[in-house]
Amino acid sequence: MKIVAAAFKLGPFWFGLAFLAPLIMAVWQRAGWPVPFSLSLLTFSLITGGTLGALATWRGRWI
Amino acid sequence: MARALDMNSRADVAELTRLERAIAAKYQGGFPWLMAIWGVGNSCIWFALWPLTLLGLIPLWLTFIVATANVMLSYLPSHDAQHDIFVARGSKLHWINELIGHLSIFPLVLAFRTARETHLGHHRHTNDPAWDPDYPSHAPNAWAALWKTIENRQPGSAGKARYGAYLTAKGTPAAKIALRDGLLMQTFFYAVLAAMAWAGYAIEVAVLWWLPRHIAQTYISFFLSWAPHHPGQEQGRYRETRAFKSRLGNLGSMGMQYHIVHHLYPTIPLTKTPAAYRALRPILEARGCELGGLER
Repeated sequence: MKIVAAAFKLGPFWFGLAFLAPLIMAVWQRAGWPVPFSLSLLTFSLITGGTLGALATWRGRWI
Repeated sequence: MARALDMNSRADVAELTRLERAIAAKYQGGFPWLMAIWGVGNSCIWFALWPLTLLGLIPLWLTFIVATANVMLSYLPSHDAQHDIFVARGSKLHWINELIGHLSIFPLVLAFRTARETHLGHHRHTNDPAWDPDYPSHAPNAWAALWKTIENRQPGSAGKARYGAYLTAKGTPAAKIALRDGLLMQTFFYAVLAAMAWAGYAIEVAVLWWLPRHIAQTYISFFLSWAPHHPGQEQGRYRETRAFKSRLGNLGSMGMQYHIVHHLYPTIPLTKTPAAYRALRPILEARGCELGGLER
């Protein structure tokens, strides 16, 4: 139960990695935007999604 | 000529109650076919959108519009089922009621038993800051209410945790089942989002489910929770909810203008509440209900 509770506390972070990252990747690809800092699109999406999720976990809010 | 009612007279109040119940009884009972077709049909359309969208047979913008309408429409048929309106408890056919309840609310990612337990809790504790599961939707005005729906979805907000907190505090076997169902439903939803997204369908699943659900949650919280209970400071049978005139009309507000009838007689189907309201209006006026200038 403690593991499940801890996983839920990190929910926004997992959401950032598991859903926002591939969504960012798909939107970027469809729009044909250049990926900054010469990163691969996957790396860029994981960093962006993970950062957004980590911030939401830390702040307790997305917006 | 009939004499005026004296609301301080026990006999007059009893007569008014008898009349009120007799009128309400005319609108109770029967199988609400429109609600059943609405609930099952709406979910079927939403399920059909998945292969149509994933196979590229319809454009994403159309998916988004239809799916948003589907998720917005998904709550109310289940709401009738929460009150066992389709088939009463104790009947051999009660499973039909439960089936409509489970199926119709699925797109909203709200487990039927979670919805039922918390909604019945809302009826028991309307406007009670400590116990009304829907209390976090309260806000001083319409714009604040819209913002509150967004606030209540933030990860650390008390509003987001309210249903879980209510069910945990209630602690009955039914509440425990409702809590478990809610957790399973949420886990399933996020698992589907993640699996579909990493399988290459991120935008598709976003327009099929993720974004429509956010829009629907805002709409439902505003029209089904905030508007009919505003200002939500009183408790008691005749003052805890109100009638109101919506700028979007009866269809645009999904019948919520007549929500006071639902709180007084929860087994009247949604589709009959306007007619019941018109019949009950003089009594509601005599009772001192807030009718918001809603004549018909």
